[in-house]
Amino acid sequence: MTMYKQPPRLLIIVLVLLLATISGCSDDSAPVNHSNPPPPVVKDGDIIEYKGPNPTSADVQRFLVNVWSNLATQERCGACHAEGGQAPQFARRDDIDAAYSQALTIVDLQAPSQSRMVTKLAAGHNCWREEASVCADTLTTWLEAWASAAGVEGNVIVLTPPEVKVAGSSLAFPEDSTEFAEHVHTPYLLEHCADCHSPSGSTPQQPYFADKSVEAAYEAAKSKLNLSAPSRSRMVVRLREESHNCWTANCDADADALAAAIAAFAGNLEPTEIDDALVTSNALQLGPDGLVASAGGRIEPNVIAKYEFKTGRGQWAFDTSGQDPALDLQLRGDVDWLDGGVWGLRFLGGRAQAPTAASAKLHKQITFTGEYTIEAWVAAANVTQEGPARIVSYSGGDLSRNFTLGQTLYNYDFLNRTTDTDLNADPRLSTPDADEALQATLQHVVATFNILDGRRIYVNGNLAASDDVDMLGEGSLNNWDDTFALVLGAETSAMYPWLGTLRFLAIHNRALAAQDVKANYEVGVGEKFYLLFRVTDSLEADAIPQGTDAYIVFEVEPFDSYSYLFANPFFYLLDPNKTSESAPPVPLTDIALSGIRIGINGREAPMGQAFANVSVTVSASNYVAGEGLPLSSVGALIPIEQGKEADEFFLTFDRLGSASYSRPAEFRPPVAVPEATSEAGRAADIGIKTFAEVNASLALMTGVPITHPAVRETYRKVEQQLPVDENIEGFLPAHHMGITQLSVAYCNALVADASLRSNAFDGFDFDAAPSQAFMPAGRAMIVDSLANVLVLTTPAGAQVESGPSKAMLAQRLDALIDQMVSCGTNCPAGTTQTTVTAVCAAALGSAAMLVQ
Amino acid sequence: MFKQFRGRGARLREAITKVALIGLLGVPCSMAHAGPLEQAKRLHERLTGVPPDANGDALAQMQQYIANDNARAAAYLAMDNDHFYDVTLVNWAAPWTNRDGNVFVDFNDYIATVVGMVRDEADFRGVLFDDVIYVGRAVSPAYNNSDNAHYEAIAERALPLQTTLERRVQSQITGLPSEATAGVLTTRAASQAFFKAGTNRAQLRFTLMNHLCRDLEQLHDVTRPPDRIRQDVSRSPGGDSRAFLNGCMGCHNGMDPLAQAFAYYNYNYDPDNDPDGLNGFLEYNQPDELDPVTGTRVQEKYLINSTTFKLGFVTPDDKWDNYWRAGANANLGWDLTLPSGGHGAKSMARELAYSDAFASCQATKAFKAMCFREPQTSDDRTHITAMVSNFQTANYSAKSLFADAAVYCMGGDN
Repeated sequence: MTMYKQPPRLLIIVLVLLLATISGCSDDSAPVNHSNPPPPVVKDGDIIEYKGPNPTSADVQRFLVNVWSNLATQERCGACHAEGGQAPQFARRDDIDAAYSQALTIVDLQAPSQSRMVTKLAAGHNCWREEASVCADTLTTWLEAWASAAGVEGNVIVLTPPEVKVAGSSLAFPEDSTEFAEHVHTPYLLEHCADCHSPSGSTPQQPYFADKSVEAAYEAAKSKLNLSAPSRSRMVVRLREESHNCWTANCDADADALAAAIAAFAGNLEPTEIDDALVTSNALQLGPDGLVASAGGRIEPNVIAKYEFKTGRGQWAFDTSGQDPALDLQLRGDVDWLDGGVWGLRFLGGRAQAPTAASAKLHKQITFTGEYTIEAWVAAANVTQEGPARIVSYSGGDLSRNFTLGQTLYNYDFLNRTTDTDLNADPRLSTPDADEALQATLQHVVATFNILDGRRIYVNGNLAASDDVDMLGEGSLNNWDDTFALVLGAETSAMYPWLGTLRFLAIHNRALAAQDVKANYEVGVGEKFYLLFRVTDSLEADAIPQGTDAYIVFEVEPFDSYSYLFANPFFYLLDPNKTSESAPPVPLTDIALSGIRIGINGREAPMGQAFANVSVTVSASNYVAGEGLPLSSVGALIPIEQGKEADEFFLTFDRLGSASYSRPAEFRPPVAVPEATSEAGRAADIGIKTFAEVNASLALMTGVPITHPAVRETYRKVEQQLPVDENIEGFLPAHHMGITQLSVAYCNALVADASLRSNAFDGFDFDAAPSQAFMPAGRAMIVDSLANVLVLTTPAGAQVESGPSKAMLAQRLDALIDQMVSCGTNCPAGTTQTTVTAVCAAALGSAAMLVQ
Repeated sequence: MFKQFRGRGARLREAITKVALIGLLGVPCSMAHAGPLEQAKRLHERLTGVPPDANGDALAQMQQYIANDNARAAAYLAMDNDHFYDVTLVNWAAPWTNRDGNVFVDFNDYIATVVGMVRDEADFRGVLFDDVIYVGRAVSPAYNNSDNAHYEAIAERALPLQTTLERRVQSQITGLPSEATAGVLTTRAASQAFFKAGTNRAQLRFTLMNHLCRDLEQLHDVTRPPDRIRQDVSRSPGGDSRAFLNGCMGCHNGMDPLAQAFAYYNYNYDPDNDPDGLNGFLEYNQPDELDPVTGTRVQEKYLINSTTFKLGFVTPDDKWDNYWRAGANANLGWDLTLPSGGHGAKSMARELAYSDAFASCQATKAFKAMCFREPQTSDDRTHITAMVSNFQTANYSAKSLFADAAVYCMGGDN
């Protein structure tokens, strides 16, 4: 996987981290150009043409086509660096071989972005565009095309020992929480946050930084406070940017007040040196000390528009494809550059749009080949937007487009106008609903089209959607409209906005093959650095060869505007005196290494320590000479504090060689005791029976089994209408109706069954007319029987007095019977049984049964 | 609302309603001065959901026990009633067996196992990890790994659970290896609810909710190392890593290393023709059964959405670790005599069951079931502590919890 080379007598160690296969750099075979010939150089109507002697090698030819033809114009480098001009004369027009030789002195094809030619431009040397970085990036693209044509498939990372720096001091949290209590806890957290962020709150929610115990609150608040930059404290950001339960109508003012309180707390603190007991590495900063791991290896020989969004300011996002005319995008409306030095645009309803005339480049280049690719790194803000919400569109209005990459909920949509679609490019291709391919996180999405393979959508390197086979081979791009405009983040009309972040966009006039999509996905997005944390001083003298240094190397990148990503750490030995003949160093003894934590600005980061559980022993047997020893395969996110130019990092270890740190026991907050509910807020002492209890009680009282078919049928109908909770305050009319229906069903079953009813109402004549049946004796049989099951009595005659009395029940039931038999001698047939059913249901469905 | 009724039917319903409402309003709302008889009735109703049989002698016996200052004996007497099992316990456990906390679910093996363990006064901690399951004695159809018909038959026939359920060795009934059984967690009902699709994190989350009385929000702690959070968790939701660092991470850092214990389990069902998984079954990858996608015993679902964050944790096995033993969640009272890590669901579930939080949660749930409210005063909380103590003394018999809670809330000057 890796191989190394080391220039002699230089304090440089070369580590090839990616495959570095260099071929075709000599005067070998005839030039083989795998890509489209670049378009003729057009600048204000001028085309430069080389008329000197023929190139003598294939590589000179590649230089001519990919670089010289773009640079040698009068408007770029030709005015100065031509023959007879200023050295190096890489733009000379009389002898391409000589120009090539000069160019080689300032070009590094293994790391094009690090070429002297590029860094000079980046520093502001005679850039022909508005921004020096745009010229540098454009030139990088040309050099990468040369490198790619030459077969340089990877890049070489040169690891150089950084300056030895000791980690600085920091504002550390004091042990005593008094100041915290005075400035932050009492006036703000207790006052405004205790209803939720306290274990005794009405809706307890971690972290409990508003706990009444100031010690517990202090501990919980530490990860939410930034003493170095109070306004970046999480709890301030939540107020200001997310309007999280502000206590006034003005969240900014609340955030300012809280930030001022944190500043007042921090203002009384003296910077403290790093705890001597800690086992630490030397310190590094990303900007000054980070070694750029350039994103080589991208496959983009046919790129015709490319946006890396590096400028980070202004109203224009520049096309650095190097393919003229530049298709720059003007930012309109609510669209911002990403913070924290991260490359990208955040769309909040606005858009970035290119002029129509310049956009015609897309029409020309794509209709020429009949195929194309849209490649982007995107992070949708949510998975609820639809329309489709326009991520990238080449269109003329809401209903007219050449292509669009959009979002509908969890799906990416790809609309491509062909002679087989309508003018709005429908029917569209979408990723399948069930796959939920689109997630609101950073994703690499690629849409490709060519007539043979149709449309395809790749997400994170994997094919996510493609046209049906029977649709292939039909529909050309002949009906594309060259008056449309390239627009990102919304439609040209500003409708159908897409909310999210765009970190990279490239448009190619070839359909990228699946393996190329995968390769570009693997390269990633944004800038990456290597940080070499020197740990030599913590090792015993005989642990590594004398004169060598030991490092923990991390790959570090700004992950987004708010965090750094630390990844792929490995232990590595560097020998500054190594020669090409000497063997790379290896450890001489076993080196125990455990508990790696990342420190930032003088203290261990309070969260995100994904390497805290690393535990390995580096030894001669597992350390690969020249390659090192990988320590972990996971990544860690560490919050940005002061920006990548200012934040200072270091590592701490629980164990490194013979040095160790005895980590103190973690603070364990006291178990919070919830407050007593106020008298008024307390639940009632009594409750009601729930559905199954009602059913079982009625069965018990009537003697009708719950399996009785009619009863069971009714129960199934009303089961979910019956009370679910015992809380008497939740009793509703709907519950009441359900209980009534069920008690009627039970009483019906009881009265209809001769055996059961004689058990319940022994001696009552169900067949007699009401006037006879409900004579005092018969009436008493009904009333007393019902009262007996509702008001329990012991054999000794004691009556349960927690509910209605038998006398009261009898009075109510009597009155009901009177109502029911008011028809006197003219009652319809069946009135007696109906009356018993009604009285039974009324009694058993009453509170006497229900309340417990 | 009564206008829809006509003629005699309307009069009948109106009359019923009047009596019902009158009765409701006429009931005394306090038991502050209730005597043993009233306490006995309430004790019985709270425990069983039904009043004592008007023709039986339970009421008088309970009254006597209470009068003799032995209310716990009265409670135990009430717990001999079938309704304690058929009504109270069934509805106590039913919401734990599904994601919605719905009590209206079919009777199933999870509920049956809870009911049976209470009945048998088993060490209730084993409900999470024992090789145990309760089935109906001589009930046809017999237990089947691929449907719930056995338990539905018990419910349909309204068989009394007190005498119908019998304790069996789960591995012998289901064919799961004994070491892979984990009490109710590996029942079919729990598998259908929490191992179906998804990532198996649900099994842990709902176990925490139902048996430690804590949802993940209450366990949120961003200071734990996030090294075991899988690749499917976005580290930058919506392009903002703060949402991960301050939100997602605080739960996943502790949850993922615990849920790794379930790495070999999956609920196998036909999503096209049986989307609810009514005929699905629990599958478990034994040592010689490798998942074709992962190439290990780990189920494919543990590696889904692996490109969301490539540098996330890739699950290699079912090794679990309890990161919550340190930090704020040390307050859950873990049993420090147990190892803080291990392999598989059984040992992980034991870690949960042996926590103070588990015992306290069972006590709180029983309290809520008997008192119809959460603990709300310091007296209530002191009583919960006493219930936990008695629970331990009673070798973790859940009946002890019900007896203590019901007596506490039987009214009067208990």
